[in-house]
Amino acid sequence: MSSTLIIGMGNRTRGDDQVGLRVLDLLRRDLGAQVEIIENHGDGLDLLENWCGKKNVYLIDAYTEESDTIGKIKRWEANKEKIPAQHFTSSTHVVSVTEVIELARAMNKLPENLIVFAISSGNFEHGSQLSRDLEQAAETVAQTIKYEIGENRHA
Amino acid sequence: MKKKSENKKTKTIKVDYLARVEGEGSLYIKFQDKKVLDVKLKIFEPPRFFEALLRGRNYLEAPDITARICGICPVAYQMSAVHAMESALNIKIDPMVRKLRRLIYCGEWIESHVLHIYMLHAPDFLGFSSAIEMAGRYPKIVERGLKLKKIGNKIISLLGGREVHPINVRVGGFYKIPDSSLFKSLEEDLKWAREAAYESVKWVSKFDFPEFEQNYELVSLVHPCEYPFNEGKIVSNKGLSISPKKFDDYFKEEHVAHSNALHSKIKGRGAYLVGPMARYNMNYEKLSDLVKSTAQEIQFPSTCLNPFKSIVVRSLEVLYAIDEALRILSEFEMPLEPYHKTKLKTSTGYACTEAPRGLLYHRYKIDDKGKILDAKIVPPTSQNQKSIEDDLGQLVPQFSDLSEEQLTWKCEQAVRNYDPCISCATHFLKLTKEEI
Repeated sequence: MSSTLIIGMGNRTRGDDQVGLRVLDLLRRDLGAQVEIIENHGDGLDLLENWCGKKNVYLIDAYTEESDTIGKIKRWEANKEKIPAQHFTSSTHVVSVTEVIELARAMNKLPENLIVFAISSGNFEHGSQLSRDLEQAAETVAQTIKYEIGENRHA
Repeated sequence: MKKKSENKKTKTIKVDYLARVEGEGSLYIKFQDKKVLDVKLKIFEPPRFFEALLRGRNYLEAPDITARICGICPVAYQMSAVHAMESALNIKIDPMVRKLRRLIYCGEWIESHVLHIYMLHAPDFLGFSSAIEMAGRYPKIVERGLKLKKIGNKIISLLGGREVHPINVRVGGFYKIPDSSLFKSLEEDLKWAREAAYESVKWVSKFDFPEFEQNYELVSLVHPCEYPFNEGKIVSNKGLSISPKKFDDYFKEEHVAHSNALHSKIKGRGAYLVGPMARYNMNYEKLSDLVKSTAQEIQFPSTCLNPFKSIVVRSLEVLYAIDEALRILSEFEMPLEPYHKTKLKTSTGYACTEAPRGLLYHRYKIDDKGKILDAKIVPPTSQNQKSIEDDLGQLVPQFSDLSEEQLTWKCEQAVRNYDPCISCATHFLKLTKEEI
């Protein structure tokens, strides 16, 4: 079993909230069995179990920040730095991404390397599609993750 | 952000964004000396129009659509939906299917109550501003809570097809019943969970609780044979005893200007309280022997009217749900068929089931092709809104000697006593368009 795990968070029926899952779709196509890929559809607390025993974890989710353009990509190395809480205040998950990461940090349950990609999103309407800007952003994030894994950046 | 403005005579407590509740709400209290002038629990989460969404849909879609109202209690919506449709179409479900519905509801009570106890409410009693802070000090305890919640999710996932918004519940039963070996695999987890739930009860029973009681009208389902999940009469401690079919005759919903969630009242009487405390008081004798002996062990009485102690009641209900789940698993036999087929007719169906937060009412009118013509959904949190505001109205005078920061925290804690699910409460709003 690979020591690298990629987790996409989101809901495929809620517009831009599916962007994390879209990144996984792109990575499955190119990385296949090289890494483990998990979809998380809403319970952030599951992350603690998902990444248990994994050394390198990539986590992709949508975020909202009024001042950021839709499709803007942010990257954090969450094991080394705190993610600003305001990006995930309106969470569609039971517990937000930042809360789970800080919970894991408090309990000493963060993976050795936790890379979080967050994509600025605007539309969370039920039944809507992923917006074009987010499709492009998903492609960019997928390419970046593939490059980092290929470079063994976190080996 | 919390603000206090002070002139010579009046003070206000204003919490712009309530923490550790599900959904988006705020609090405003204005008081003068020990007299409360105004209390508003403001729900600003946008209204979600689910009842309108259901009109024109097929009756079989009701459990799947209504499950989307909430990510924490989707099973409750599915149960109220299927029971209402079955009441409309005179469907009698298989006895084993009935037990499996109780089992999936056990799963939801476990995961919802445990989430609230450990992540949202316990920090208040231990002086922590968040579960994260609490986890730093008590990691093993929080780990116990997370593992308990996971076991509740496993039950839902097994019977429902997935943890969030299950897909296997349908009118007449389930689309598919899992193999008996999969049920067997739950037993070991549940035996661990029963011990962990017992420890949870003992842990919360040691918290310091303020002395605070109200003369509530408690409303819950009551069943002659069991602690209620899916069936029973709607009964109150002040004389109400009606079938779910009569809900609209006795309860009414009102829109208030400061909230996107409707307020509920008993006609001619006023506010009432639903949820674990109501269920516990009305159905104590139906709890399992283990739960009753545990309550006696911690010297917790069979009646409780202190909402701050609802965390103990929730812990006892978690223990009950696990005990009940093990009992159901010990009696499991594969049903003859996973669901009854239905014969359609124009009709109206009604049902109440006990969501983790309390009574959840559904009513549907369908035509002879199975199209939903009309729907009404009354969730527990909107039923409790008035009681929450009334509690705050009584609480502030009692604790007005506290510092501003302590009083504000006490008020927020009082809201969290009810484990409000604001996403549920805002599922509906009547929209009136006025052209000027």
